Amino acid sequence: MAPTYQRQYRPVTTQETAAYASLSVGAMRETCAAVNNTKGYVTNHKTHMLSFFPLFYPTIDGTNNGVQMVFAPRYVPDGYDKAVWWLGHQAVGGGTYDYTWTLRCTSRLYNGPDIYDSGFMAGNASSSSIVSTSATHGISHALIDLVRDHRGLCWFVLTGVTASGTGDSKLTSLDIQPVWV
Amino acid sequence: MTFIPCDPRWGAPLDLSTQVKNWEQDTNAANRRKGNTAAPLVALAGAANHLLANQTRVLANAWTKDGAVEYTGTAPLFGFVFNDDKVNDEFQVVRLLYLPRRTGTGDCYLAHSIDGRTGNLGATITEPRWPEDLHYAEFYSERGVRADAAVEFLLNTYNGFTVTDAVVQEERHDQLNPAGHEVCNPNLAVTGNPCLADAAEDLRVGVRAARTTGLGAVISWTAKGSGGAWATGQTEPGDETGRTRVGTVGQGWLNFWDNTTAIRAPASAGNSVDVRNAGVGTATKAYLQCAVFGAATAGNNVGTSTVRFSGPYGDVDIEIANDTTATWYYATTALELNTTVGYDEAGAYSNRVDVYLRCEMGGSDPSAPYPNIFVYGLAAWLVVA
Repeated sequence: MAPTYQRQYRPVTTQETAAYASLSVGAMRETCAAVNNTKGYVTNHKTHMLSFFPLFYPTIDGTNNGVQMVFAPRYVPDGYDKAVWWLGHQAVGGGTYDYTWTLRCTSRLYNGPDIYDSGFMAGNASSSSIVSTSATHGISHALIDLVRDHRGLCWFVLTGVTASGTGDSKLTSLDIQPVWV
Repeated sequence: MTFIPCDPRWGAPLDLSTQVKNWEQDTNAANRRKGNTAAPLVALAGAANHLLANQTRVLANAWTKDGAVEYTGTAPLFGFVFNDDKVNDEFQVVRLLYLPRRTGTGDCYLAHSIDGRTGNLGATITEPRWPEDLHYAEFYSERGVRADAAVEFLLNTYNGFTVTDAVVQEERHDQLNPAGHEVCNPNLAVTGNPCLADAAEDLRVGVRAARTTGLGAVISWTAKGSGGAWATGQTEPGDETGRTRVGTVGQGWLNFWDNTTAIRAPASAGNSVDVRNAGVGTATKAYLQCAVFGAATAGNNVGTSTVRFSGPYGDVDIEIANDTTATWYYATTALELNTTVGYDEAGAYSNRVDVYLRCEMGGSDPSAPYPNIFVYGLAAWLVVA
């Protein structure tokens, strides 16, 4: 039974509320649809909701893939295979404005060097990138596969790199929200 | 409680079609009315409770950059508030990344101002390196009084406990317990008995409650306190210390996030908070409850200090009293969101919420100083008005 309701909550009708009335299949089905709708669209609320007043710049610039942030983990229920992440950013500096932000989801704490080393993730990490190319502030989004540890915790790491060696980008906000897609 | 008759992965749809039938054919191939038994309703209640038990909200989080961490670790650190209009969540889990302290011998830990703390951190490293020396800690914290609509709390550090990220999340359960939680009560339906409508009604009410109370936080920002007080310094661009946000006079409406002094159209470019209501609310209505943790000064107690949350359909203003003691102020009306652009799998749509500060002169005393606003925290969560 697929979700038949739209994304917003629709109150289930209450036409059968008499204590000794029999229950119709229609009412039962409607309740099922409401539960499915809740599962599908309420989603697990924001994972991170970081708005940085007013902004921060990458600590490690240049062509090395620098670790910019390491986040404390959070639980994401089974069933959410992906998260959508939104990044507020603005390209700054010279060069070709090619700074690439990469969000990584792993199953453990990253405590490797500040130049990202995938070996510390034992290969168990997903990644998703947003390229900051505009000198005008904007918010971009992308999907990332979720990777969990044995308790269902997702550990996120944000890295950044510029191919030209001269690009830079300032970061103003980061939101991560699990989605059912 | 019963097993859940569907794929246990919670993205999978719930399918009770084989158990819910109005008609069946008798031996003469004639349709006869069958009616429902309680079993599928019990299963559905179990499924709903399992679902609700796993939908753990992130209540608050704050982060500081490695270059800005405070190795001296003195209270207070962060100030938060979260929505507490659902009674299921007796405990929160506080998850931390921290660095070893550099010096000191006293008890070194982080504590929740209501309940709970980490253990004492014994190791001392003269020159801890980020991120190599990051450690993880977590503890459970009992929340405040059940009757509270919102819970205010601090995370406080002592004697060098240096936090780089803190996430506060509801405790996860595998199932909700009808004895202690607000649940879809399966006990109203006895397996094998006819299923009556009032049991289904109970389930409906439970699902409805899940969609309209205890909704998620969407804005969580906190300054970083130190040395027994909130920092009074203004955070500068590129400074990740998370210090106090100060609004000063003569700037009109000052954008909280990017320092511009012009009111911005909701959809225009600029640093805002993007709010995705994610299917919460009703078909046409979803709102934000907004709150500010702050203080204000004004000579001779004149002048008005205001924090404004600006959404797609209007503004909500919160006036900060002329008081140097910081406290949480709550908006008296909710900020309406546009539900038609509230959620999209690809992330294409959202509501933009801006925050502005304004300090105005008041009264007729020309010698009175202009007021200042000191903002130590912002919070907003979804509500169904």
